[in-house]
Amino acid sequence: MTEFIPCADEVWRLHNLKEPDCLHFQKWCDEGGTLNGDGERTTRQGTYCCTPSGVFLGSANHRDPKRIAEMLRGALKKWKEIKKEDRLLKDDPVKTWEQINRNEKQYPTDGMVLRVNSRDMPRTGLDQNDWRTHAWNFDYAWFRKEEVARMLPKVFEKKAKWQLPADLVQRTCRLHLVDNVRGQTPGFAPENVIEAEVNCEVTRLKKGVVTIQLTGKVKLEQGQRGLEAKMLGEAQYNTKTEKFDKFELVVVGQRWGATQFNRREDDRERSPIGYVLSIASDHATEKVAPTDFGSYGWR
Amino acid sequence: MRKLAVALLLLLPLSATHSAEELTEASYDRIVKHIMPSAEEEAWRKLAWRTTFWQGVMDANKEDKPVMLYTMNGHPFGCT
Repeated sequence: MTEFIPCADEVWRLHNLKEPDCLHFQKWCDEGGTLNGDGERTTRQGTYCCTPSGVFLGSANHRDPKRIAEMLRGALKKWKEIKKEDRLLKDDPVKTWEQINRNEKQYPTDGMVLRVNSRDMPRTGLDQNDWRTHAWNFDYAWFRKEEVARMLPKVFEKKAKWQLPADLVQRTCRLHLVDNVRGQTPGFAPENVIEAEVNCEVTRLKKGVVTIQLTGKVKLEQGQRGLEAKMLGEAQYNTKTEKFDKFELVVVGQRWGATQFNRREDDRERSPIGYVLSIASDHATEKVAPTDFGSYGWR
Repeated sequence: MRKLAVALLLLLPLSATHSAEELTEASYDRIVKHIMPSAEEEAWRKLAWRTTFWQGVMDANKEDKPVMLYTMNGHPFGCT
């Protein structure tokens, strides 16, 4: 893999928008045939290889690593047959990057990013050989610096109690506590929030670090789908750096219903689900925008 | 009547909902461990992934290497 530059991206945007990176992708993506059936609107999801200049080298959409390895070997062979001046871009791609509108450009460097891990909780009667039994997923919840500041009281005192701002709790619950364990699913609308609250209590004050116990509950309901769960966790706020050193919130309860792509068509009854929200690392792969970032309303 | 009662009893497990282990301080660590991905599930992060196609193009152009793009409905490094 060191012979390639590996990257990952969301396909609908690349396939449908008219931004420079999208047009670049659209120019060559079908040269190996459409990977998911015929039709202009058919998803182009898969694995592709190209030169930076936009010469198609190979494509495949398989879970079998041997098939992907075979495609990569073929792509590398083609790459070596292309002259350097033909495989590289003549214009500086860094300048093009400045013209590309990406949600990732709004990454809240001075705020807080929580990784939201989701997985079904154990239950009886499931086939241990079925991938769905072990499925898990994740997303990222972003908070701007001023939103983090609103989560805190003006003065910290031991046993002080307050609630996290309702708008931030509701946004986090309806956009991130979704049943995405097996696949994509849309967030809930504001009117689908029956209840959502996170209660805070200072349990310790030591050397500028405030330890806060988190408890809460959530109920979301939209037609035949929903979530009802309890929350428990702990946060540690550093008054010197004005950042959370730790923010961990566990959510466990029951989900029900199904959406178009979340693979619950035969699993609509109430069943246990769990989430862990914790501070994301600085790793490049953790700087992807929230799935439903469009609903954040950030400008 | 007896047969009907037996049939209804057999149907009960199908209609019953599954309940989650209660979230308490005692169960907390066990639940976190269950939900969080294992090292094996996170092995894909060992590759030097770029998180957008164009970041891949920029680096490939700089390093004179081909681009390998993995693209899905929903970002593969987020919720897909």
